[in-house]
Amino acid sequence: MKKINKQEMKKIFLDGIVYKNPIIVQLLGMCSALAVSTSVINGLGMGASVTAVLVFSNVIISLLRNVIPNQIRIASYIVVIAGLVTVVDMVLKAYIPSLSASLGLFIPLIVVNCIILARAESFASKNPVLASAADGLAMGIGYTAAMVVVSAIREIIGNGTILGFDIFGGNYSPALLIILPPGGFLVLGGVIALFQYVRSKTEKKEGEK
Amino acid sequence: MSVNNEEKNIEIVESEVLETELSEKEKESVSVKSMEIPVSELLGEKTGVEEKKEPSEREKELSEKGKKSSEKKKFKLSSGALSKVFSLSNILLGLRLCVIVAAVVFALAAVNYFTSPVIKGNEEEKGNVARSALVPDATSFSLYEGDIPESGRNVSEIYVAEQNGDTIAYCVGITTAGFGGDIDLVVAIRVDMSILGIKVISHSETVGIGASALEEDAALLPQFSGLPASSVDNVTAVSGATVTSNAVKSCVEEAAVVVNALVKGADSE
Repeated sequence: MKKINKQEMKKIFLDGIVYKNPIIVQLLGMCSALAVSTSVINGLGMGASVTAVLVFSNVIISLLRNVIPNQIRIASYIVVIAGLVTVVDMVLKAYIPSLSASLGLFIPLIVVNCIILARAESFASKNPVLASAADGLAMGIGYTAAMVVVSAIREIIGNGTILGFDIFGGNYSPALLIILPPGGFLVLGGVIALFQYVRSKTEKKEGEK
Repeated sequence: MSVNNEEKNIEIVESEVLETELSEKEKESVSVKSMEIPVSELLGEKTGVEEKKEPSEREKELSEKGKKSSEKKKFKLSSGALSKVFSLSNILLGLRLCVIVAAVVFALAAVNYFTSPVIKGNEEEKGNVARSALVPDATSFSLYEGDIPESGRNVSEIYVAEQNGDTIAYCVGITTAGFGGDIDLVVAIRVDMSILGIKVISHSETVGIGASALEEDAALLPQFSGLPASSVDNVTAVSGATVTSNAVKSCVEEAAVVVNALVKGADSE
């Protein structure tokens, strides 16, 4: 088995969280990102679920990468991912029913979240288990970080609370638009624009050095 | 996913639709093999992607096959084509996919064995909590085993609230269409046809509008407490949440009709 060194690990994590952030850079899995990011708790819960599915699916597919024939690989990936998501759904319904109720339909929708299939196809099917697990974890952390940022903005402006705590006092009348779907697009677009701006500035600085 | 993969996925669906003469067992391996046939061949149209790997004899038969699925054309597959479709390599591919599916199903069954009783317990607990809160002076609740009256089209279940053996109220579980989806409610009505209260079990109403109207301390639900069932019409809807409010009102009206029928039925016994 190819041993993974520290340098590669660092690259994997930096890619997942910053340079290839699944929501902000790769623009994958936006449907659930927009719909669920109405409060930080939901964003964290969704991020944790996606991370769990990502890590386990990457590990399983990496373990089976030499066993699954090429012609049926997509079908196999989908079966594995759907199975994993069903397990996550059942476990949440049984042990954290409040989170399951607030995330609702979007837990089963993780099956068609492009991030999972994209990482399975482009990374896990070609790399050893440890690297795939790290990649899954990194992408999951990147997804969760982006979700938390967007959810925090939407919750503070659209609901006057953060993590359920009132920050403006009871009299704040919230800008409902931000919590509704249009607000999701606006906030996410703004976050992506800000990220790209900062990135181009830092790259310019490094280019001048 | 690359365009190629997407086209292949579409092809699997297309060929399953067009299979009219093959049995269920054979369909599985056929759909795997037909991944390599371009959609253009099946539909007899040009889509611009050429992936010709099959002999022309097969293509002719398949373009015949590729008429609209509503036309039930009887056609014969030559034995040559059949043996290529059900070649050993394809059957092995199908079998390997079956093995993977079987492994996943086994894992799911194992997890379900542990979580399913917990989930059932959670739901029962939720129902019990709601019912006890609605009818605080009831000593026991029992599921109504009889037939739900025809007037209760949207009723899912009814619980009889008893106090020391006497029926004092009915808790009607009812579902109706709200603004964003179904609203599940439990409506508690006393045997003297006064409404005890309403509990919302689940809903998909818009945050800040319909959802706020359904909150316990909002303006809508408390209006029902103590209201005689005949004056549900007088309940004021929440402005901006008319659909949600009307859905709740219609639920309560229907529950009242059902409870009325049950009370009359119990009286005549």
